[in-house]
Amino acid sequence: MDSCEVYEFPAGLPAFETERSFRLEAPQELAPLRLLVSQQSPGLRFVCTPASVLMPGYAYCLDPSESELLSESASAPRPEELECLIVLTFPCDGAPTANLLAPLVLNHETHKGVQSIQVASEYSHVHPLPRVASTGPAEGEEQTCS
Amino acid sequence: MLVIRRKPGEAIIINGCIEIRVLSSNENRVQLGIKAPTEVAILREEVLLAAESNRMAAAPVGPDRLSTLARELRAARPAPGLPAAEFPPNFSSTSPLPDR
Repeated sequence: MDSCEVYEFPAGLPAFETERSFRLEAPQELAPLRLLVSQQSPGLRFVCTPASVLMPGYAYCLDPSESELLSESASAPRPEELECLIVLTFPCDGAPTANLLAPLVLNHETHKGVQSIQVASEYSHVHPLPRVASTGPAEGEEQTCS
Repeated sequence: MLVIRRKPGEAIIINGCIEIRVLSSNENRVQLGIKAPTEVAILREEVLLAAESNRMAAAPVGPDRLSTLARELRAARPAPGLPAAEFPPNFSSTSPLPDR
């Protein structure tokens, strides 16, 4: 069955800072892809997929301000509350790419989300999709650092 | 690209009104202090890249393209225990938090 949940992005997304509320759709026929659709601008939509689908060892860091945005309390969100999604781009004249530089991190408990730019990483914002990819959104494979 | 060597404490001036001073440096990182008029936007490169990537990602995608990619990703499920993708190695989960 298709699922759909609403997430608040308190800081918006880079280039879309005023878009704060998104619906995360998971159409069964498009699994493992998900659709992040703006609640304010229904024509605005991002295609994404769990990081674990593309790269089981994918690691990301949240800075303290991002942890605070994702949490409703003073304590940092627990890793099991979080899911990491990678935004995909479909160039008109080329193969799809993955933005590993700026993953979406969602908190399933608070329904808050951030797009976390990994400034200390070597991840690319236009990484080619691998020829061999896993669909199995194996839970908990992506890592965070505390 | 213009390349200039500077030591901590030294600065460069751009256009007579923007000062970029090296405050400190170590093996991995340089700390810069920037003085500029308020109308000059100063952003980390990564922020611009993320914004540019989001603008491209927001472009409409046809349903056929989505279905094809979804099918390819489902078909490419590796055997358990095998790496799923050939991405380059990156920073580990113990990397220091970025200085923002």
